[in-house]
Amino acid sequence: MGRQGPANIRFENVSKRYGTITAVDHLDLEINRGELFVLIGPSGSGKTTMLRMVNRLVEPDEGRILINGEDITLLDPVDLRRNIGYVIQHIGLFPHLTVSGNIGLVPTLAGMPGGLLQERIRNLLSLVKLSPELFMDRYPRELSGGQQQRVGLARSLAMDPPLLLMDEPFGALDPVLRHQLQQEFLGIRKQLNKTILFVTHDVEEAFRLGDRVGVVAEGKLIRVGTPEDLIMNPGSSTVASLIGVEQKMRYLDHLSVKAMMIPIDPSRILDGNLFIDDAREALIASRADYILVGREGVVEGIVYPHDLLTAGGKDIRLGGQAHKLPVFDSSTMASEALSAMKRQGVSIALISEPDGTGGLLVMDEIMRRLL
Amino acid sequence: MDTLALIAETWQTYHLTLRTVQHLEMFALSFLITVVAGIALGILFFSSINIRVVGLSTLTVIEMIPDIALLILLIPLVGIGFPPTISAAVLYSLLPVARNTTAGLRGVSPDLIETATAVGLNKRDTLYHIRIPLALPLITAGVRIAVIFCMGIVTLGGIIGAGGLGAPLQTGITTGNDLLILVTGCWVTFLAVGMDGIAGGFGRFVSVRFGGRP
Repeated sequence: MGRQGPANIRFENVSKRYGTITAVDHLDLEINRGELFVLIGPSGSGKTTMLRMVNRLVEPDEGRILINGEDITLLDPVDLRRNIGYVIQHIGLFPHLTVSGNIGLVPTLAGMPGGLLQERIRNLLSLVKLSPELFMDRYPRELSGGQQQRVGLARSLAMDPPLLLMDEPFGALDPVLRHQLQQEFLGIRKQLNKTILFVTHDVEEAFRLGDRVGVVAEGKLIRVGTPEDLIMNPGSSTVASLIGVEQKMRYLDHLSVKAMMIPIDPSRILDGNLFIDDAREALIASRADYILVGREGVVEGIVYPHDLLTAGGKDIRLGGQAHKLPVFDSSTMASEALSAMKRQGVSIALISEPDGTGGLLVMDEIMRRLL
Repeated sequence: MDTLALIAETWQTYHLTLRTVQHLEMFALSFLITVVAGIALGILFFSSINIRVVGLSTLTVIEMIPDIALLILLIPLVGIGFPPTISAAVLYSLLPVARNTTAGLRGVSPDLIETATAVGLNKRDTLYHIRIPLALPLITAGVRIAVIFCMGIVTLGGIIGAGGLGAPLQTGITTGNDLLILVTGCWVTFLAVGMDGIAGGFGRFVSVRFGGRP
């Protein structure tokens, strides 16, 4: 696979049958370089088989798998596996080896010089937030579940593989610890720049971690998309019921405000120099419950009906009555934006996209879409 | 006081120090051969089911031959005294070591073996770095049985002129010297219990170190 940065994986028409059961049914999937791709599905759906075919623990009956364009059946399985990190739920630390021994086993067999290895072990332990001095010489039985899982992750990174396979790595941990390790893992992942194929049956985990999520049912990959895409447009009842999208509110933590953005109708933006009497007429005519104030399509503020009613005098201009709108970056999480809006007592906010365009975030509309 | 003096005299007269040295030499040699050959056979049995079936059956049949009969049967093959005693001790003690080695190698958790495969260990690395270390508690348990077997056969070897502590016992029986039988018998038992204790201590250390049991 070489050392050319994160790997790219392609499944081409891959099938695997066990007797009459089709574990993987004509899988076509491309996982991009540096992507964290999550396979989610109920147990027995075939997601773990898909993962285990990548390091050839399972050989497909049909089709082929390419890593960086190379058919993996043409590679030596031992070399292939040494270049693929592997983390699983039951961890599989070797009980007779210390933490150092576990992390260093494969590098030693691969001929990494001792000094370099020691330094590497220290760096990896620091990366997974375990003090090298305290933990290097401990045996797995002397570690808690969470610590063991951290060592498991460090071991999988020992050969600096361009690709990581993770099969429910946090599945055996209690919810609080699981959440903590997920957060830490996201942090570690940013420093790593590796392609990661992750299997889980936990929807929350899939949405929290995945760049893209693939939904697997009965051996078939039935839907691939970003977490947002899957929540807002599940596409089929199978996906909807698996994800539980009837309760989209649960996913506020995983949705960015972009998913709930309403485009701005330029005709609704009134010039700030308009007199409020004219604005009042426009408001009544449009039957809207607010007026956007701005110029040339750029919103500068908002005016509500009662602002127009309470403002006295004929020559008062609209701009003077406008309230500033909170502005959120389009990648802001919906939950964060909503609580900020609640704190400020506003029900409408602006969303700005990196390219300068934008839209509106309207609380009523969010409720309508999520319920 | 008389008793102690009597024991000391018996010890002197029948050269029990020399007999002990001979005894321990024979024990050490047969035990060493048993451990090395037994573990090697165990690994061989692990690698091939056909060899395992034939090998373990053969060793079990040997085990069924009464020990005295085995000693006598070996005389026409390897002569009298030292060689048949060592041969019998080894043949008799191979089974527990070989069988436990095979069982230990096969008994390593399939999850760990799969993990070893998944992280990139080949079959040989898996055997040396994972299976053998993890089988050590069971191998040690087999070795501990071999300690007792070897001690027993080496003592029996005195009957066929191998020397060691079996010789004064034999003398005691033929001359009706009860004190000699008692002194030698107690001393042999003490040695055997001591060896077993050492093996047991080693076994506990190995269980903690390689078995993951605190």
